Amino acid sequence: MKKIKRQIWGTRLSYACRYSIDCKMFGAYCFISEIKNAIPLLHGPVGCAFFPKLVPPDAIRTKLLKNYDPSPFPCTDLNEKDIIYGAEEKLYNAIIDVDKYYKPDLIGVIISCPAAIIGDDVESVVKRVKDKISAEIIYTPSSAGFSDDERTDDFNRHAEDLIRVWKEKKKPKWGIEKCGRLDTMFSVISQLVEEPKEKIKRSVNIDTYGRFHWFEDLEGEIREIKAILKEIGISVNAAFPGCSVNEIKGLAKAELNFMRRSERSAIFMKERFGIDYIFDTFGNRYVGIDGAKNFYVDIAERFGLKEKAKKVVGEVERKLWNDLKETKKELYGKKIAYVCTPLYTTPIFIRLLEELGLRIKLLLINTLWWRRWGMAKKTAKKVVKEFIESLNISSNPSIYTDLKIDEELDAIRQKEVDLVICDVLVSDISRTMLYENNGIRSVSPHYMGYSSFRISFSQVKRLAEIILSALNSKSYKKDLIYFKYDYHKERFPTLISDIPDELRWERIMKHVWRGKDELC
Amino acid sequence: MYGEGKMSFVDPMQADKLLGVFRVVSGLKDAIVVVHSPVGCHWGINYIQRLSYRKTNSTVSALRERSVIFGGHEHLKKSIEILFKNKKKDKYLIILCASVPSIIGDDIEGIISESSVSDVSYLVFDCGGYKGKMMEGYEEALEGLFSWIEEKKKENDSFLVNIIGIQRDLPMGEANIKEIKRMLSLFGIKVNSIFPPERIKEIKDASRADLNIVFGYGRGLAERMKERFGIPYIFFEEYPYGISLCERFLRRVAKQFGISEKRTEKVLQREKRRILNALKPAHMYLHTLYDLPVSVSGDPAQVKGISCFLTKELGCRIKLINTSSFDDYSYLSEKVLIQASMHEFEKNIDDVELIFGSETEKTISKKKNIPLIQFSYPIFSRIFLNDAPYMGFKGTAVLVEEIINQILCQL
Repeated sequence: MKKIKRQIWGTRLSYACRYSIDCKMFGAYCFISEIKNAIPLLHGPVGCAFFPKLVPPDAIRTKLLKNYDPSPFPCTDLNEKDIIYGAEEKLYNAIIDVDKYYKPDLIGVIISCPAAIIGDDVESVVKRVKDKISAEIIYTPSSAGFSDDERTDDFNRHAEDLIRVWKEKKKPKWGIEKCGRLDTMFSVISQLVEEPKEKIKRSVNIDTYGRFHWFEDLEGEIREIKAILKEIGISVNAAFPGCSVNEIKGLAKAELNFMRRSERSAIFMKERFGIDYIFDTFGNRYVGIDGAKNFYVDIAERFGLKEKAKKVVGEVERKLWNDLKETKKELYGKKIAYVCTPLYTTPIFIRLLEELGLRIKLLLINTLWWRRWGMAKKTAKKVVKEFIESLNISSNPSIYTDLKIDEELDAIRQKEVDLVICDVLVSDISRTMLYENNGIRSVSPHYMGYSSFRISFSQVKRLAEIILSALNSKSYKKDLIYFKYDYHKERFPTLISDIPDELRWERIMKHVWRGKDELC
Repeated sequence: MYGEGKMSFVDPMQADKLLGVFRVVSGLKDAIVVVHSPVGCHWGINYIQRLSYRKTNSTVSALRERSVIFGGHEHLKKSIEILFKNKKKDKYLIILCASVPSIIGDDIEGIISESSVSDVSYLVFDCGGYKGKMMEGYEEALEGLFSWIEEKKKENDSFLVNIIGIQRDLPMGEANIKEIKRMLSLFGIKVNSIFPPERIKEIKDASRADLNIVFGYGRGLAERMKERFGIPYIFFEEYPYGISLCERFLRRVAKQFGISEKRTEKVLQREKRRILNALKPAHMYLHTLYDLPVSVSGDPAQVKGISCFLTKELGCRIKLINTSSFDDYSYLSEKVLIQASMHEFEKNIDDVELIFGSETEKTISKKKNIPLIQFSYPIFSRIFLNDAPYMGFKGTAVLVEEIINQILCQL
């Protein structure tokens, strides 16, 4: 996918999401769209089905299914009469026609708010129509926009969890199981996966994820996992979603599930089909080079292939460092400033930068993203403290937290670094532009196609190459129009003129959506 | 590829009533708009409107599961109290009740009076998605603004009009308004207020006008203003695209103000001469547009206006009109789709060589490799920074330039 396309798509989404947030129904639409030749069908009014098609299709659809257009979103067009008398027959007929017209492999019936309130018995409609259509069919019982959604939970709890992960390497308690996507994943798995005629020995299912991360190398990760597992003697039964309906139906042929998002789905498959699972949310055990090694060894151990796995991944790692020999030589001793948000950045990632030979002279930690999402200042401070304590690096950088943007620039200037690496979620490109506008070389690895959450050795190579290329790139004098506007110094890159909108939205999220009692 | 016949699903090409109301009120700079709904309803409409380059002054009451069971009053009350916490005066609030509160029947007025916010002027729109389509909401919202109009005296002797129904969030929206103002100024007519408005003052002062000029939407508002303030109105069912419709528009307005035919004729001849001169470099291509098979998607006022221009003045052949309300379009197009599903539209455009539409038609335009001129709502794929209108005399040249460039680019 072209860089400009993913940048524009990303810009549109982040611009819209600064003042509003999507609902479970939209997440359900996204998840169904991530399955090959599946059609989401909304039991709801036209308005709910209109806007999702105007949102860029998500990363799994574009990168794994190679479909660059949003999925159609047929709906039952509920009207006032339907709200009074119910619309089960309307839904029945719509399913028949969707099957006839689109000839899909799967119809995912998504329940909207009005349909949930009037209490149409969607389950019975689905059961009744099942034999009348060629496609498989599932429905999402709790995809109404108002339904329980863990995103409304306290972000302070999430922070506590994250600290536990860094310190104790334990599984987080907090998750987003009930967000629209994962809720739908559970519906798909619990309603579609079939009892297998026979198991595939030494096989594993890999849960992948994409959301709107078009900049990440989803295909590369799966390709690498399949190749290394094959060498160990393990086959990938399915990497899902981003696969066919038949592959999902056949998930139970595998002997092991590797789940990254929905433990509920993993537990379901364990209880129903006896498939053991490994569950790991991002930012945990499988990040970085050691993380990738852990991944293969952990899976292989379940099949009694631990030693073989160690040998294989040892060889992969040796090859990686061998491939990186020349790059590392060039990177060695280069002074960098690293600007980051804990979460997206893990201590493991920072250690990886040192492993590549870089000297971290300055570490600038920014918690704005967290605080915008409702984390208390006190908790943000604790996250930063624990993050710093978990770093375990030798560069001994100067560390500052939540500097104003001009102070940040001054700190970077003083350290005379060779490169600034930006990893601050939404503001990466703006920050890169700001530094370069001030004559300081800068790069945002995530925007260049690197993802610290992917389980991958080759990603490390890519990271090193991205950094080297940034260090060697020709620098041109800039006087960017972008910076001729007034930015809020603590909320860069928000324009001062947009601050009232941003603050209003944050207050509503914190005090109304998340339901804090006190008014700000 | 796909099956045939009328289907019992809709893959919608237009939004519902909620977006229609939101489009009218969310750009009001000195009022706060609260969408009383779960977060997603606001996300969808806010996404569309913001990407249509309109800054919205809105937020959401963020209803949750508990609201469906116990009512949404706590959420709405809390939202209102937060939003008006430090505001001492000029408190204007517009509440849009989406599907959930519309079904569960929240008592909005009761909630407002129960809140700690006093002296707030408010409007409430019941716009559950199941209650109607986008342009119904648009119409209803325009009429709803009537209650904020104050009785005011005219301050000077100049001809003063209100423009009602021109959509600001269309491509070239502000440029269109500027051009209409310019055209009116040719007869010394000034614009008092525009609906949808950007400021509360525009609403309050609307009663100062001598005449309401209604384009497509807002007839209900004009009727009420006629009844209450005695302001007459003239109604145009189509937007003024092309020379012919502009001429008709100006003749009617001039007549209304008693401007002599001689003066009117002089002004129109001068304008037409100018625009024909501007179009002259395109003369070598104008005949190539003759009989060009075109499809037009949009709301009725746009569809009628642009189709009239394309057929009458360029000689294109309108093969398909795709619009939202039942009306007679047979004098303009061979085929007409009303409130169509995307799949019906797709089936009917095989022999079309140019589409006039919006962001909604983009996927099909790409798939079928038919050039698309985005002129109707919503549009994210273009940005508009210059005063180059599609409407009015000046707009004629812009449209012709756009059509020819689109076609030439595809060769």
